[in-house]
Amino acid sequence: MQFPSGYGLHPQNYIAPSGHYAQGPGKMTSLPLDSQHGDYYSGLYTVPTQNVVTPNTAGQQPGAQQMYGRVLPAPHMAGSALGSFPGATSSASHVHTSASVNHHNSPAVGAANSSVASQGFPSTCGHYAMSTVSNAAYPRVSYSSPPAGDPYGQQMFTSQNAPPVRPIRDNSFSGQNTAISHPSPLPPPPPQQYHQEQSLSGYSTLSWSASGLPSTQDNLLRNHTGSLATANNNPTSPVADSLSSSVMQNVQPPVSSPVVSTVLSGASSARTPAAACHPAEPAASVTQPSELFQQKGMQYGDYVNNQASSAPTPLSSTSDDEEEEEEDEEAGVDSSSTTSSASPGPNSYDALEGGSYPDMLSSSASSPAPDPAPESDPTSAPAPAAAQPSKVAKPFGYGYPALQPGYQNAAAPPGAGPPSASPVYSGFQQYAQYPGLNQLSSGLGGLSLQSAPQPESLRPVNLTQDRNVLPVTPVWAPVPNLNLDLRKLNCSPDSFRCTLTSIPQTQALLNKAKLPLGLLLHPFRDLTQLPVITSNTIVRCRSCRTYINPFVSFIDQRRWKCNLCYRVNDVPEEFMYNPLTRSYGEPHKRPEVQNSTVEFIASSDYMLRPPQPAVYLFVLDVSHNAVEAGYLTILCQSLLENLDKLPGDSRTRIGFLTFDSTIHFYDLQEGLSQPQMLIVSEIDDVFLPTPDSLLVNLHESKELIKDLLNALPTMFTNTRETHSALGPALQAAFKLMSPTGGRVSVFQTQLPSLGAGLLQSREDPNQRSSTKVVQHLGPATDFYKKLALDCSGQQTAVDLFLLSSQYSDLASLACMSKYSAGCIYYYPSFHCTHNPSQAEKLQKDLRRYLTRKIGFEAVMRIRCTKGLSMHTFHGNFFVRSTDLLSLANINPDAGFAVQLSIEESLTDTSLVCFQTALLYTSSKGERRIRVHTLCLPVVSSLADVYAGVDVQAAICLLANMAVDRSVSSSLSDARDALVNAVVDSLSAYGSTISNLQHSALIAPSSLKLFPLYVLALLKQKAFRTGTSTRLDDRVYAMCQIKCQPLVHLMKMIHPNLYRIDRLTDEGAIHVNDRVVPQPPLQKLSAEKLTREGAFLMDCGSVFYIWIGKSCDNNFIEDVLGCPNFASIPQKMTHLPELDTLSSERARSFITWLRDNRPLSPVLHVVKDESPAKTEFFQHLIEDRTEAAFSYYEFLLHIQQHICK
Amino acid sequence: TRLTLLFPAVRTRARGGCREVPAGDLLPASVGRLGFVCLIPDTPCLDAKLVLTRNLKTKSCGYLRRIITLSDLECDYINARSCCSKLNKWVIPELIGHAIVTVLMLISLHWFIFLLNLPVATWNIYRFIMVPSGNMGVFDPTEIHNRGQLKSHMKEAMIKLGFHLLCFFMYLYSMILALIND
Repeated sequence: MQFPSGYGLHPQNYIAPSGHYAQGPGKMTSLPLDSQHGDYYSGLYTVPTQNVVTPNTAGQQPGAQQMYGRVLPAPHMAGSALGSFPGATSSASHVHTSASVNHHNSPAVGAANSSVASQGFPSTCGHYAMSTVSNAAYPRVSYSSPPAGDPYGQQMFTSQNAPPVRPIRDNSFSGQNTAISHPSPLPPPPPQQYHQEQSLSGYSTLSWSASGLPSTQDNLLRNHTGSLATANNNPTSPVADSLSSSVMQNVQPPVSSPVVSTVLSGASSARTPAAACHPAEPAASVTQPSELFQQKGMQYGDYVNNQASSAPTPLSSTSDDEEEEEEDEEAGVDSSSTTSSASPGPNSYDALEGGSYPDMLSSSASSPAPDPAPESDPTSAPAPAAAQPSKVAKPFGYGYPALQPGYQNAAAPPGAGPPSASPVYSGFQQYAQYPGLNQLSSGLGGLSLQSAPQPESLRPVNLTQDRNVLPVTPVWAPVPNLNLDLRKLNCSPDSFRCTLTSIPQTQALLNKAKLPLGLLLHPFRDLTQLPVITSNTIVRCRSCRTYINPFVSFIDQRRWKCNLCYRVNDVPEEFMYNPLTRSYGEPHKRPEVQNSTVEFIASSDYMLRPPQPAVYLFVLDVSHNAVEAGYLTILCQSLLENLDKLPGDSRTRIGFLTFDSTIHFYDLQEGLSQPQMLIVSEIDDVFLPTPDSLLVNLHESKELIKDLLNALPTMFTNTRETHSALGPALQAAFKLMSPTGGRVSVFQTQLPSLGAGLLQSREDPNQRSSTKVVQHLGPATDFYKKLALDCSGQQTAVDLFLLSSQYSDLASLACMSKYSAGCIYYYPSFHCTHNPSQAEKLQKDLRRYLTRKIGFEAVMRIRCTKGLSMHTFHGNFFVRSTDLLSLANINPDAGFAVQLSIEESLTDTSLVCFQTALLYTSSKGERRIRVHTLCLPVVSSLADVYAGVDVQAAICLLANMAVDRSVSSSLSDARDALVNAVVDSLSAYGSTISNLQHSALIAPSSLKLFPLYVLALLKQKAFRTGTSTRLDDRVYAMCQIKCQPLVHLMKMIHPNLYRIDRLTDEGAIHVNDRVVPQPPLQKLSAEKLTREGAFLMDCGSVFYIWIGKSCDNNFIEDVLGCPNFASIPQKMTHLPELDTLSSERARSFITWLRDNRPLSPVLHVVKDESPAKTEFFQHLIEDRTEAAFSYYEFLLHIQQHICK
Repeated sequence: TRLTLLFPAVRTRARGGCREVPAGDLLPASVGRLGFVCLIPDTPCLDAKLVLTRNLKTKSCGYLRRIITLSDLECDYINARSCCSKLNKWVIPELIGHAIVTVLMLISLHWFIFLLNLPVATWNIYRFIMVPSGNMGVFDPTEIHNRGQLKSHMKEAMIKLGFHLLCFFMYLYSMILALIND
């Protein structure tokens, strides 16, 4: 798991798919090709596919069966005509699924998986999708026929004993589920969940329960009848049709009502749904495709027929278009610990057998909110039923409850409520109507319609009265209000987030909402696994060059319509063949179309020159100041340790350059007996003494490099040179690097004082706590900017490590990294012995820095649907042309933000898409393109816009904008703008609600944290006034705001506070065999601190543990290893490894928090009375300080502004 | 044909389409002369106005060129770095040229024309002075794409172009008037 709790889920996404892709083909190849195809098309496929499936899962079988036995009634098993083995397999897979999907609950998913797996479809993604939908929808249809009427269903119901009728049941069940099948990263179901579910209008619960019932019933039936049906039907072409038609249906959400009615009539005529679908199927399937066709969304047109006809054609093109699914080794290595839940072996196995099943997983992972099944299209139910007769019933008990209480709770505000029938959700209204239309048992169907009050995210919250706005669990990303399929396909919010998950239709509406619109990107995030695609032709839109993605629509088998510019493109021949399924004519099942995050291996068309090798140059300050600080020892040590882990291949090159008032080069040419130092004292016009031998091959000259690294720390110990010629050294570095490009790491410890780029001290210490003007936030000279642009042009990034004890004008120096796509690290008052915590931090940061993944000569292009336009970019890069970001290097810790505006009205579209394409050269010399695609709904009413606000993304975007503002205008302007952002948005919201209480400050639930976060921003180092802040600290905070990805930035803005003296295992999660307790979040206020307690504050880059004066001695002894409070040392930066339960809990919790971030935070133990506590207390942002409002005062302040 | 780029419709289309590699500077040097047929007889300058007219002519061309360069940037034909360095080169000549014209007008006591030119000259100087110390000139490649700067530059260039066209004809008129009076 990459990120703390909130984000824990998403890695799954990637795991699943890649597991699947990585292994899928291999498995498939083991099959006799002919037979597979033959079977597939002739309809005998069930048997062979079973064969396929079973071996894969053989390892799991026992476990699977166990699960199976547990959940399923035995008779049921026997009932499955296709043999219990496959059934077991499928159920096993299901169990895993449901476990891992847990958070996302959706019963449909589980059911779908199991059904598919058991049915033995080789690996057709489409089917999965379809089945999901169908399942989701199915229940509704079947609901009309009283479930009790069917004995089997009834039996199932009871025996399975997990009918998710009551939410409470669900919960308990999910808990059990978790416990059994996998360690889930979930926090315990928070108490609110129940309320929510109930308040949720019963819409969800009802529909869920509804879905739960019939599907089980249906499954059972299928077990008995289905096999027969299959046998009969399969050989005939109608079946093929029905199959594919169902695919179409479910991919395409808006189904015209005629279709529905057709199917329905079929259903109603038959006694049970399962039975119903068989008779109905031919007709339905035949008619549907054509009708569906015109709908927007994803259309697969009469593809069906084509498919059927093309089926027998021999696949000659197999070999050339083979998709090489390889796991991204580096990603695997780099990615910080994966949660157990995220990457258990079984998952990938499941993925394997299920073919595309991982997609389900992944997609469902990205849609954490409980998906109300009703959204999906009921009509598609029959076809899948027909297609997958051997479905196992059990999924429901499981899949359903897995429904993720914790998740739901968190995600509930935006995700849970909205889809219900509130009129504003025009997009979904039609779905909501289906039940009504179908008229299932009117009572229930009606319920799902009626009981939809306001969506949770719109629930008005009176901020001045509601003191506890902060939830006890981390805040999750809201889920776009899309239908189930799209939601599942959508990009993970960790990589791609939008401040408004519902895009307003027009700029006017956006202006009315007064909310910032923009994207937050983390494109190069360490992914545990992701689908990697090798293909001769990368399919892109001919006019806008968009990469093909899950949100394009297939007009027919040969053409697809771009979802960004709406141009109709041809599907190339090569794309017709799907190497995963080894089938031809299914372009919509290719991994590109099944995953919103994919990576392509690019061909030579994407290279301007041969891929560069990894080149690393270290530029080290060795002036007196630097030697005094002693960083060289740490750096050389880290380098020696990690020399072999530097990302790269056999061509990797490395070089060193040191400087004080002169520049020293090191000749490391292979064959020399020892490194040679070449000194250039001509700093006005730097030249390279020996151009060839300064950057040397890492492997060939390893011994020399090691010699140098061992010698470096002691070489300059007696230096008296105090000057620093950074500018000339950088020019030299640029000259050295320009033929290849690569990474320059600059270590600087003082203000550059010689040669080009010299800087003067600009900080006036008396102004540090000024409340008025903060000057010098911008660079003093354009030297570093120009240099950075030159470097960027030569594909060289400059990373700056500033380890200084005094002012070093970071504002100017940072430019060298900002515009060359480097990164900036700042260690104030660094000293290797006097400040051990900084030294340790440097050491850990270096380890990460040296070994993390790196991409060279990268460019990133962000595209969006016609009508939207991007106008401002934030992050470290150079905008080379309107939407092309030039990134000399890309690292996994870099985040970006983009501001958007709506140029043309979006009235004629219901979805907008954003696509980020990152083209880079991997350290292994491969050219790769990583593509993320995000799809969001368009809404036309203000209420919807508010319902879809992603407050965290909005605050991060605002922070970025405020940084720009404070540099270009002034800090006070930026602060005013932040306050105005809250005032404007809340007053705009206030004017939309009718029952306006003028005395109260009302915010929609989705925005309730907005004022708190803005207050936190105002008290953040970057923007605070009145508190003494060193200029460099402030500038560094601004740099971080600009380039941190959202998750890390949020911690910087609003730290998390936990009470850790009473950690319990309640709700704990399991990570790598460790139990990690999950204490609730506390408000950042001194009122929460009790003297008896110990608290941990997680500020992103720093952890504080505050020990209260009368803290329990047991805790102090057990965790800190000191006998009592008085004996706790002043500077404590480690928790001792004690063999006590509470120590173990505390440490595992802290380790878990640490593992979730790239840079290792420093731990400070703060005693209640120590002077260091001010550091701690200034993070308690809800409290009043001399210079700033308390939270309540801030609210009043806002209210005053609004009333004005 | 490059002039078509000036029309918004074309620009929007181009914005949708994205090219991976900027094609570099395709701008023919002569484009700036387009549309300004010399109406002035090629005789030795009789009047300061004649000099001015010529000055003006080249200047308008300069703005035209600026607009074209900016729209090139907008359409991805050129990268921000080269665009800005190209434009920044002309900022000081423009500033000086305009200042000279304004002063000349003052000296020759053409009050109306002086007052007409004064705001523009002031604006040029103001803009030049207000460039933050870290920026690479009036046009900064790292910021030109941000916060609609490109658009405002474009707008400014358009306004100046209009202004100078107006001046051109005004000067021409007064020059002819002066010639006739001679």
